[in-house]
Amino acid sequence: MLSELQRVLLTACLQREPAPWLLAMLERGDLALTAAERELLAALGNSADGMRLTRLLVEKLRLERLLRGDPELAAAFVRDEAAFVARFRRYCDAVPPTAVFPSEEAAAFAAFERAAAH
Amino acid sequence: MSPRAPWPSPQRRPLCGLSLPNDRAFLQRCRPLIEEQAELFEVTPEVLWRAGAQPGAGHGSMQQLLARLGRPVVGHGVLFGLGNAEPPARRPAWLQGLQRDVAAFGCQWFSEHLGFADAGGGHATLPLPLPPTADAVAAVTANLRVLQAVHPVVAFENNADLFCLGDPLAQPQFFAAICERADAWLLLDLHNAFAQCRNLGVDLDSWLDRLPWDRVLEIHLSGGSESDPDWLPSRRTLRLDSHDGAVPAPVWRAFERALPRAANLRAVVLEWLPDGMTDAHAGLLAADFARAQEALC
Repeated sequence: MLSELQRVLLTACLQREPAPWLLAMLERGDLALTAAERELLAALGNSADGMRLTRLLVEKLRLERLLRGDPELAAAFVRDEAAFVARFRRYCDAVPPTAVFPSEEAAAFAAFERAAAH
Repeated sequence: MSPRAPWPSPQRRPLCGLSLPNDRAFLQRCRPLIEEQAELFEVTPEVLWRAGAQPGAGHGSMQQLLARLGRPVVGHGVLFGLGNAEPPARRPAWLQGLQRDVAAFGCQWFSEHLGFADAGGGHATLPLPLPPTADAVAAVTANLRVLQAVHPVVAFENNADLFCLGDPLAQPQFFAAICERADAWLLLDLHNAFAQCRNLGVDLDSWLDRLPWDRVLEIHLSGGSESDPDWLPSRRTLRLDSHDGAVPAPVWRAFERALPRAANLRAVVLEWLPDGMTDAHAGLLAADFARAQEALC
């Protein structure tokens, strides 16, 4: 099923080690995939670098969005980049991407930090 | 059935255009190119939006600029989710925004990146590769039909995929099936093609040879960059479609070979993303523009 393939592929692209994660998922055998889709995904084991780089690009785009979405966060990034990146990484690891617009990413980040503070 | 390209008339040569970002410094820096040379402008409505696809900062001034310049405009999108198996929750608002802006900017056609952007409630932030399957052709066709309600002339752009589902050389056939089934056009991004072929170890000419050339409506020209070796444990570098450099030699070669083949070509658009752009970069962009324009004359 195309929707299942897309769900699995998107989740794989957010993993630190996408290729082994994907192969482990395919071994489970409970995914609603056709044999052809399963074969296409299994072959991505040879594309580990491309998938890893995709994850980095997703993080970069989320960071750019976040900084555009909240001027205070943009100022915090300029003041201490390393500290801000550590904050951002915690957010990215915990919250999968759902935001499209900068204000949405900023709201998701604020909600995450509020929840983490309690 | 042989396709018939939209405006302008086939007797006129393709127009040489420029992608206009929502960036005041870019507009200032590239002012001579924009004011005096560009024959067409490409605009991405979604970068002018705030949440809910409402007009955001820069929307009004872009509309005013385009009206003042009075030259043809084409619309371009990135995150509609052309290959999505399921439409995202934002789809109705997104379509309303597109409808409003395609009319407001007077777009001659609308193009969108080919890929899926949403799945399982998550958003990819960039278009991800599609499998070359009948289901994917059907999904893209259904989404293109939705876009055709916004503008009757729609095109899709090939991405610079960093990985591929299936044989990369089968991709042009996948494009042809979509064009045929959806009555859509291809926006051929030559740097994306170059980058993807290099990253996936495929011969660019062989990939280009397989394209449905009679469906190429528009060409994108741009530069890109190499990824940092520190980014991957293997220290391998991959070519990125970062749109932040001069058009490289292999892309110019592909462009020269493309022109006689793309009989329905209507526009060539130069792209440069504004982040980090300097005056020297603006000079490089102007030189690339002049070279492309000369090739079209």
